[in-house]
Amino acid sequence: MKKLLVTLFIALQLFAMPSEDIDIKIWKRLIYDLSLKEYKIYTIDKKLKDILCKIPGITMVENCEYATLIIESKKSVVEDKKCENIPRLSNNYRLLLTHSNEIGAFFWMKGRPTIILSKPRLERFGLKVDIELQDYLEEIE
Amino acid sequence: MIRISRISSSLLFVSAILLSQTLFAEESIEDLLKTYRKEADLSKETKKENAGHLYVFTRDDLERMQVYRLSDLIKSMKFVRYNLNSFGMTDPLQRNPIFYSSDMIKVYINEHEISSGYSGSGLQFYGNIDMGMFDHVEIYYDSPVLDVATEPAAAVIKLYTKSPEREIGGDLQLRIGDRGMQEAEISHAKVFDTWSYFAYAEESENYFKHEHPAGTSVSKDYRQQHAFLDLHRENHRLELEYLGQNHDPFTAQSMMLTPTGGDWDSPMMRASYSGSWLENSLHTTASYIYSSIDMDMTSYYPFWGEILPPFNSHPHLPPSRFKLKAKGDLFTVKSYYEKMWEMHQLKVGAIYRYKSAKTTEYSFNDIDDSDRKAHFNIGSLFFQDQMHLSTNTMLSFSMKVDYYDFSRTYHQENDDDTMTTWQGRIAYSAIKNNWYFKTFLTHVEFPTQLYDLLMHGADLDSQKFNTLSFEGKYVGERDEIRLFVSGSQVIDFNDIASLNTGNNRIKKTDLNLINSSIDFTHHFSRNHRFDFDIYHTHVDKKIQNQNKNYVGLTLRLLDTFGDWDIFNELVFRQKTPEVDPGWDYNAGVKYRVTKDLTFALKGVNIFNDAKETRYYALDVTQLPNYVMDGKNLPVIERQVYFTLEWLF
Repeated sequence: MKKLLVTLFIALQLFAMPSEDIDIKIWKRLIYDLSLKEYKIYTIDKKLKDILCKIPGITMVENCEYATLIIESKKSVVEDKKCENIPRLSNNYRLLLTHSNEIGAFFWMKGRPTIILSKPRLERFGLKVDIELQDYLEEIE
Repeated sequence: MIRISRISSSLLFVSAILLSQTLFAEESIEDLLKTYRKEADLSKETKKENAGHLYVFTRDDLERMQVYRLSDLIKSMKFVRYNLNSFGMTDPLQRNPIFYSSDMIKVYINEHEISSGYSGSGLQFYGNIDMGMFDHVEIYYDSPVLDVATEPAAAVIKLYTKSPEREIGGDLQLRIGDRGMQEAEISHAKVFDTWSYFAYAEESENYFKHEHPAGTSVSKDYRQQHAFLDLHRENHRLELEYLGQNHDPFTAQSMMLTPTGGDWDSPMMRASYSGSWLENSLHTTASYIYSSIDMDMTSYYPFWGEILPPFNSHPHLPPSRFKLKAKGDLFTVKSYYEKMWEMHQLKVGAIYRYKSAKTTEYSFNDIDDSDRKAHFNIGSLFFQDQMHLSTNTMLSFSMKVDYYDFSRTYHQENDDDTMTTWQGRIAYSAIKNNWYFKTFLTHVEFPTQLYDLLMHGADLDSQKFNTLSFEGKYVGERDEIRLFVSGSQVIDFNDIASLNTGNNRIKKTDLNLINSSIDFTHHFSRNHRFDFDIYHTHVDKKIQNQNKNYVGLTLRLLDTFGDWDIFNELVFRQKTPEVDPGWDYNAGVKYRVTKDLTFALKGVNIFNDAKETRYYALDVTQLPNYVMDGKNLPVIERQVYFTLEWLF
């Protein structure tokens, strides 16, 4: 119990009050603005998992084969070949550029957070995005 | 005229407050991204709330305030004011004509102290540094130990560079100012699979108004080149930096403020490494800084240095010429291990520092006295235990012991000395609902700096500060109020007698010091913020010609209306003997033409009423009788800047 308290205390740091609410709001918008039939998400990134599981209406699955969307980070890339045909989002620009199944990314660029979605890849997966995200579409093959 | 200026500035503040009525807009994805940028500020990852009394300027603050120079922040720092020494170097605690007085204020870039072999503070050459490569700034008051500083410090300014991971892409800034000021900054960042970099370069020419006492020129003009490269690979980081400054002589420590020409150059090169192992529990940093200073200046009447031996035995009629060439090496390696053990967060570590300085030329009118060199070997051991008594309270204990081994050649004589000092702190912090408290009991000892040991034959000794400080903070939904009080007992304070022509000009004295401040912040909405702070300093003994009581305040308003950022700031500094109070009003407006193109206009000291500094002069024309006199000179000039920023 003490360890839990200490960990909690250090995580929060005295006086510092980081909020993950805004992460939840952005990921929620990004996911729900995709025309997925079901919102079954798979990730192996612990930090992302903590955020995504707080989004109402989303089901976190334990096996990527059951997922309709995989969310990755630089250090947590899903290598399972059975899941190659599942669209992916990430928080890393380099993954978006180098992995052909990445349909988009939410990441930092030019000192500000940004979203980029790949129009050709979305079309390949038969996905559409809400009108609000149209401004973030780019021709990344 | 001054009254009109003050009324105008007040009206601008009030009108800006009245305009601040735009409340939260509907949360579009673009709004969410803007909020995310503020919420995910890097300072949340770097700041150490328990290390001292901390004030943070986030990336958002720096951009909205259009902070282009570190001096833009130093001038609103509490308990000190922006000041220059006789050569135009940033010296907030300056006591002219003494060469430098601000060794207790340290500057850090990321984990590394910026300093030189011959000085105790990097502010000498970093006080007016360009800010294009920095993400955010943390200012720690009251003897921060272990967590933030290598050597003892009364205040620490920590500058954090932009992160390659967040900066992917490029940034070009072009700036022009009145009187021909011009500056260009360019940076680029890229991330690869296993490594990333952030590169930055800056060049500027800075021109200010010149005062002309006695028909000569007092110029602060300077030219600067600055380059920085930051390489990251996993948990390892290498930083390379070059800073070159060529500066006009300002008063040149001329006894009658009559410099007639010359300049000084101070190139600095730095290579620093930081890394961590064993799941981030073992940390190591290493840094090497080479710096030099090359002064060559002339004056119609003699320089202050000429009253010191051996030059005072060579009376010289005007005009005079002064030359100084010195170089310094600073090498630091620090390693510490952190471990959680039940409710204890333990940290134990060691520091080794080698600090050397050498003069190759020190002459007045070609009479050379450059036979001076000195070095320090400094070894330190430290230990810290932070005990988490509950989720909301923490008690911590820290202790550091420093061993100084000193060697010097001065006037053909060699001498060695050693000294042991210690720093310690007991700290208690607590959170209750919206209230935050922290209190520190600190002992810290400041050693004699190498410059005084090298140039003035001073003895190796220390100044001791025993400080009890308290901070209470209330954080509400829209308001934040902070109260800070500290009392220090200072033992063996160095009071330097500038007119003493003897070798050791330091007179030891004891004194008591009380600092207090109140900060208030009100958020009208997410885009509109008002900051106010007032501080008071009381010293129970008069040091030189300073006030025993001193008050300063700052009012600041930050507004965003769509693509427009508007900034207003008023910095007040109290009257001191022979110098009027200062009202420094700054304002700026920034317009984002597109996501990647921004225009900005900023005025500094708009009403030209910022506090000036008195530079003392000695009328040597009547020798052997002399008359102390002086002249008030501006240290913060009125300037207007126009900036174009393009992100690519």
